Amino acid sequence: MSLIDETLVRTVLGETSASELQAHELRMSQDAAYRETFNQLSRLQHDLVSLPEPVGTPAHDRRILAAVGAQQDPARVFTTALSHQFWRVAAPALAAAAILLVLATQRSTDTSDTSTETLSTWYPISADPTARS
Amino acid sequence: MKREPEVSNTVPTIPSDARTDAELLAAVRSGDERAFAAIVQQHHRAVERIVIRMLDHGDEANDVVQEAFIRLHQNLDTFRGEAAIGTYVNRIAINLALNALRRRRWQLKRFVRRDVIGRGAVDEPTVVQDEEAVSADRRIKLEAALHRLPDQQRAVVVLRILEGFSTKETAEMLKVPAGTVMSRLTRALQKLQTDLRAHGLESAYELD
Repeated sequence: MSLIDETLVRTVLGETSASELQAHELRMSQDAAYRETFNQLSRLQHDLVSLPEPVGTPAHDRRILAAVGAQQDPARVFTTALSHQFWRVAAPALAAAAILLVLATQRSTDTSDTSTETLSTWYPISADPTARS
Repeated sequence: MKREPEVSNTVPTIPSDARTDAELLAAVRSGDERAFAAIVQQHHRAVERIVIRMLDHGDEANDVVQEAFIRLHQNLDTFRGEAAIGTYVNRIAINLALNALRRRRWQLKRFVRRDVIGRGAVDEPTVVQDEEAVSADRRIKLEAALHRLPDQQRAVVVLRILEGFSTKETAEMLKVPAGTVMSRLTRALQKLQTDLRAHGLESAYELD
């Protein structure tokens, strides 16, 4: 069972009145269990205060200002949203198109030596002028 | 004492501003965008720290910080200056963070098995080599225990102890009586102590 109570917490945080502080000091000198709990709580509070500060996102304040600015201007909100949506859709589409283009170029290069064969397979025999002569 | 806003992540092109809250408010209302930039610069780090301590790092935390300032800007016309701007924006941020935690828990309940929610099993190293490692181990366990606290208790610990706001300021931000802050804080510290003992830090909180 924990002995931590509100009075003890307020004492650790320095929020006690003069009379409470006097009572605390008297108890600290007489009550070993109380003293132990107070020291544990002080240690816990010290450890909490000593926790490292979280590292924020660089230049986030600039992005906040941009977002606030966008909120002020409906046209800008629309443009920003449109731009965001455009890139969300366009970026994968452009990447896919680029890959297809590269593949198509490679395929075209690979089949360039056999273009005659490829053509002949598409022309019917009767339409091939060389077949008549 | 309350920590001053850090400047490590601010951008030097936003100038520092020595105007008071009232002067900045008047300037923003008269259309001075640089005054709002100064407000953001003054309070951004504190808001960011609070939100990250509630939600951890990530896009969700960034969104909440951004949303807090957007709401501050939207409400500046009706803001009567009864509280400091810092208290006001921190209040918005802590409430948005609490909403985000509620939303997150609702999503977890739907999609994730409860037994994988806990962070402790992943975060806590079991082998401790030296004093520095002991300290790091304690810190990691303490942060994990902090994240296992109920949301409202965590909010009180973050604001009152980690950020150093007074009990009155914490109560204002959470819109609860000061007595509620103290009772939540007491329960939170009891839970933290019990949790840390359960995770092997018993000796760290006993008398030397």
